[in-house]
Amino acid sequence: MRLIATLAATTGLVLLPAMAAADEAAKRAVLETYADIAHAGYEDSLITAKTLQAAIDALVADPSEARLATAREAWIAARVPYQQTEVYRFGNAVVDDWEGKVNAWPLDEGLIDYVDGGSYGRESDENPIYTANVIANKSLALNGETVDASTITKTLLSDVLHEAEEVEANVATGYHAIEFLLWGQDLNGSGPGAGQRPASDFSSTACTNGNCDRRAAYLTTATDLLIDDLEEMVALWADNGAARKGLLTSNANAGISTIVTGMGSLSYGELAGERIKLGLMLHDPEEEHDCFSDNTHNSHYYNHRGIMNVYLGSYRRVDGSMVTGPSLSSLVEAQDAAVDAELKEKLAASYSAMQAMVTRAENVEAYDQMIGEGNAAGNAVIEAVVEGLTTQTRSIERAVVALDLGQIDFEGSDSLDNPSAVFQ
Amino acid sequence: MTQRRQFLGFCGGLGLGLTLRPLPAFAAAPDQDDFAELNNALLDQCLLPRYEALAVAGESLEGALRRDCADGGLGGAEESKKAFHAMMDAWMAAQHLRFGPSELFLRADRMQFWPDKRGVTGRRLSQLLANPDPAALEPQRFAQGSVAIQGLPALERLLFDMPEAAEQPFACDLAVRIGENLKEISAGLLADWRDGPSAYAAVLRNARQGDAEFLDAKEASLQLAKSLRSALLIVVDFKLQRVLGEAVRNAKPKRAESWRSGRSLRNIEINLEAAQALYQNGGQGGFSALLRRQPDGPTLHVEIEAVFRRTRKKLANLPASMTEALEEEGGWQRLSAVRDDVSQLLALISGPFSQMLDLPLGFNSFDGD
Repeated sequence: MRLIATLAATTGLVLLPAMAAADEAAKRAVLETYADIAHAGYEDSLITAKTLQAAIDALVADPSEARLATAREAWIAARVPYQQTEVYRFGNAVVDDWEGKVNAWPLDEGLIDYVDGGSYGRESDENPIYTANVIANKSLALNGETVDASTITKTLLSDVLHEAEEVEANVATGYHAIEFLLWGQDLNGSGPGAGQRPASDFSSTACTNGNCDRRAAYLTTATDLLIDDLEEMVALWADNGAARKGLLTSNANAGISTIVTGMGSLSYGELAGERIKLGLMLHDPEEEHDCFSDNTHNSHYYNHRGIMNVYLGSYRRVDGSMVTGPSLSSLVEAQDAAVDAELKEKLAASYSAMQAMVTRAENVEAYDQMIGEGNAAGNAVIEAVVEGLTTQTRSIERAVVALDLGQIDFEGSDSLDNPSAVFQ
Repeated sequence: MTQRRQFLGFCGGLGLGLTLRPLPAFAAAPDQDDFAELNNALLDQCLLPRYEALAVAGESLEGALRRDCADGGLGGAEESKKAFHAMMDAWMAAQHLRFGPSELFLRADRMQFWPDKRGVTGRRLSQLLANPDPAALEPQRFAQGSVAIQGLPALERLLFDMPEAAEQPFACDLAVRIGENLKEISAGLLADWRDGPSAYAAVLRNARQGDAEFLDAKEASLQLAKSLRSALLIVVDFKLQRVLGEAVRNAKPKRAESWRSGRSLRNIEINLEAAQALYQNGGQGGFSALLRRQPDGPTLHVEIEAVFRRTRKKLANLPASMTEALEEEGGWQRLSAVRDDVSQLLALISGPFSQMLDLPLGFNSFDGD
């Protein structure tokens, strides 16, 4: 392509129309698959979130340990499709702008509810409302004014508390806020065990830890918000949705750039770096993505599945059915079969490393134990994951070169806003 | 979470205009010979000298800490403070070289864990000083332990911001251990770069034939171009944007790098000096010489050079401490102007520079939240 484009530019010829059209059509077909997988993934996220909502409604109506366990299982199941959609976040501005409401992390949970003063601490240099505890306080000093929090509403959570004081760790909504309310803090450090919140924290008759009615209201309100947000995203990827249309009507190369941007940014900066390496090098159990539930291994594993889904053009839905179509892999193969083979091999290698991590989490020790200081065997399992993700990023870059899409701005979300930014 | 950068728009606009122009007949894109020459030139003139300087500074720092502690503690510790500044100066010229030996064993993170968005360094340090456990300072355990307490930011707190620790013998033991650790890391970096048949310098020089690390010389040059971009990106995103915010009232001076030792702006000055050297050094083989041989390259070169010069002049007129600069009348605005300049440089390097040299900069470790 580059050769042709250069030739055209130097001689004043236009691109050979037939070749360009075939190339364009192949790319459009890949983008269709990509949009279909997005829609299915967000729809699955919505379906499983509704199951979670039903379990939470049942829990707060009549709290019991069994109902709490059911709600926790529903939360873990809801993460399976959602984590596979995270590869859409980087590259698609519309997803990146929305994502903070749904999956923000890490959070200073003392904003929401009671915390253990000993391990969590009572104050933070970075966050003035580190222990504001809205569940216990009907009135809060926030952003320089007094806020009436007597009724827990969607607006209070999403517009007032979320990211209050311009501190990112003030996370009042989304999966991790719900996770905290279902599990409570994990006070086991690098020892075994997740959070141990009792079901009676939601009881109106035998309330533990105070303010059970407000805690229940917070949990149901945050869950309702999650449903609203997921519905919005499903609509954006539906047939006439703005995200799908934006992708399919802009330049095809810009669309393909969006796919690889998501794959590379999630692999390297976000997953290998921010979410995994950071915790490993600090040996800090707080630095795990699902720190209350000890579900981090699954979160990472399904993130990687998401990366594979969009490259291979294939997604297994929660009901077992498949969404498949023309793949980015086949586009790369047509340009440079060796690069495609290399990237597939690297993705598979990371997948094995991820599986080893999941197996260890299920049979030997939890993720937060694996990253613990002095745990050479556990550390090595996590290091292999980081290494796999880092190596596959190099191969993704080689695939970008092979596709000859021109300059890509890998910072994230620019490509749809400003398609010209990705071209030479 | 999502803290988006503000400056993305630049890249596209500039890039598009430049590349749609027909190429003159004499135009030759850089070839493998050019890239091989570039790699050699920058190794000899930038990379190896910087790691040599870092190793020397690491050795001096360790010696100074040992002597000050033998003299009774960190109370005065003037020699150690001086050695700390020399080490920071050396590190600021290498901070952005994030590949090869600096990635190995998490060396760059162990040298300096920053930014520390969750305040882990302070928390871990207070915990350790409250429960002094000599076993925690056992060399191997310490070197493989949490990066938060084994590098320059932890040492900076001990030397400049913990008067209560000054008299505590354990604090001195910890400072000496950090000094030893930094000496080991900087010596390891230099050895891995320079010495032996598998030295990373050789990997870079031999990239032309293809090896496990690089398919060809161009991929190795891409790493160097990425380093140049990283230097600018770190300054804009972490050292200025996170501190300044969008308005005077949003400024957060304690997010600045090295604010405790009063050298946040000195760091940036050295970063830009190092970035400019990476761009300009290397004689006929360097980036700027290569760029000037491309169509439209001379114009772009003039622009890049002018922004470097302008930015460094502005910085030269500011104090070394960002806290002080922010307290001055109009200080925030002056710093904001520096931010705009470095952002412009970043846009020029990420956009037209990388396009003209056909070095697509790809992903970097800061792509995450």
